[in-house]
Amino acid sequence: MRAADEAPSLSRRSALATICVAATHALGCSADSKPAPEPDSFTPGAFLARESQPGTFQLFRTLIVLRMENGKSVMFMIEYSGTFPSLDVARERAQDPSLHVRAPVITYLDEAFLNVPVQVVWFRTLTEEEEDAYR
Amino acid sequence: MKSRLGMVLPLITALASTAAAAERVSLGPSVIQLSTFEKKVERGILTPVPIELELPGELQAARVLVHYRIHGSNAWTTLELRRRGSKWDGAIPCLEVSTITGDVRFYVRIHDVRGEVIAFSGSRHDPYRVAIVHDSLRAPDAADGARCPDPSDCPPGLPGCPSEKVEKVPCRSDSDCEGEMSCGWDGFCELDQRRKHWFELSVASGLGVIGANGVCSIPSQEESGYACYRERDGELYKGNPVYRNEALAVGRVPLRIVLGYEHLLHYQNSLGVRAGYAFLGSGPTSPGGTAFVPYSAELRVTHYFAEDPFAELGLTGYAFVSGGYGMYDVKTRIHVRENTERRGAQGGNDLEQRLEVWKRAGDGFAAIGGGARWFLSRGTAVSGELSAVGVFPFSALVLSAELGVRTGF
Repeated sequence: MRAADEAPSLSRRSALATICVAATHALGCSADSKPAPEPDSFTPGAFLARESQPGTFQLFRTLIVLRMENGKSVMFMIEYSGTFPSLDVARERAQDPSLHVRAPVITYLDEAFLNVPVQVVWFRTLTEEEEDAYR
Repeated sequence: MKSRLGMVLPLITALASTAAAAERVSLGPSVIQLSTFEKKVERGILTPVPIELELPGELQAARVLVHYRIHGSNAWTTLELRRRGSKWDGAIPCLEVSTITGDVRFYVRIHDVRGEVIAFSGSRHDPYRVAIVHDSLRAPDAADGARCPDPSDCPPGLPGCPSEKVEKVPCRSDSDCEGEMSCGWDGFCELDQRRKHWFELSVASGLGVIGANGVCSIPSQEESGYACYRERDGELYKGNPVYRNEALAVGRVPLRIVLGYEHLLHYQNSLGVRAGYAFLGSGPTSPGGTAFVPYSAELRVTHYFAEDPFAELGLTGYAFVSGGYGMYDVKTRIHVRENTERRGAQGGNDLEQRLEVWKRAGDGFAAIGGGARWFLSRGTAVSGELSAVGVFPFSALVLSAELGVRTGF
């Protein structure tokens, strides 16, 4: 008897839940609005603008970062041709898929690479061809 | 009907051409016995033509209608006889007879309470004839009573005055109606000039509204009918988008040509079937996806807001509900941000990029809408309408606009 009494209630709850899910889906009012993750220097695919000389930037792209037992890291990177007069220009050029590659893979110790100002200016997921360079 | 005809015919009596009869009743029916086989008598000008008949009790008559035609006129007029016990009487008004000489033709039809004709005497092709003769050609003693009165002194329908004209003749089927008349939906004979069968040719298009939140994720593309392509290089997107609460996206749907048939069921309501073919605007089919079916089928019920729209020309508004089978490809563009924390199976996805999104919605739909139809003639109309189409189970809301031409038979 009790189960029978509860059944409609559960049914109603189920219907309400369905409506809520539908409305949420349609209107996009979900709880997934946490801030989007930002790439950092160690994120595979991140474009890094490194100040090679004062006021001049060079573009690199992180392929993979290997952490060693001594706490240091080795950064496998793509090195791109050219230098850019500002971060904005570097960011704009990083978005160009035809950007010329000077070296498909080079390695740096993190502390050596990051001892000058470096900023993440863009991100693009790595293709298999790009990843093959360090495999 | 014919078996009862034999009972009715001997009881039909009509007309008077004697002075004695004229003295008996001055304006109302004055009756003499008429031979069953004699269907022609004589009357003077400007006098009413009285008609009286007696029916057997077992004949369940509810209305007795006299259909008459004045000489020189092509139109048949109907008047209803009054009941006086077992007798029914009335008169073709003298103002109708007027001074027109020649034959006045009439016949009688008897209806039951449902409007069905249960007996008749005479017919349109073999009517009773009353010869209207000018006084100068008649015998001096051939008086028919009083001349035509002032209508205001004796309005139709009052006792002793001519019967009222019948505007509507009740019926149950077309066979109960005479001439070109047919039995209308209201149970009365009418000259039906409505076109009940309509064919239409329309062109429809519109905008589709689809959910846009996370629609380019791989699960969404695999299970919800979405396909996303990178604008940069046209590659099918297989990345990891960040959900960013993009609620809705709007895009166009294919142009669709529609052929339809609509049957008028009642004054204001119709039932229609429509078949469509979508072109110019269907999207690509992603690998493993369901191919686009350009054909659509629809069943539609329409209600017109005018009282009798198909009997009149001009503009008429209408509303409809419909449902059926159909696919709607909705094309739109969305902006996605790549989730940098997840390794994707696809390279080359920028941090921020625009994707061309196709939603293949269908295969069922239900719609509600309204429009206006302009009747250019009784058999030609143009129409324009707007509708909201709910597509399921691969959902979309389509706001559709349609223009069409229609021809009726």
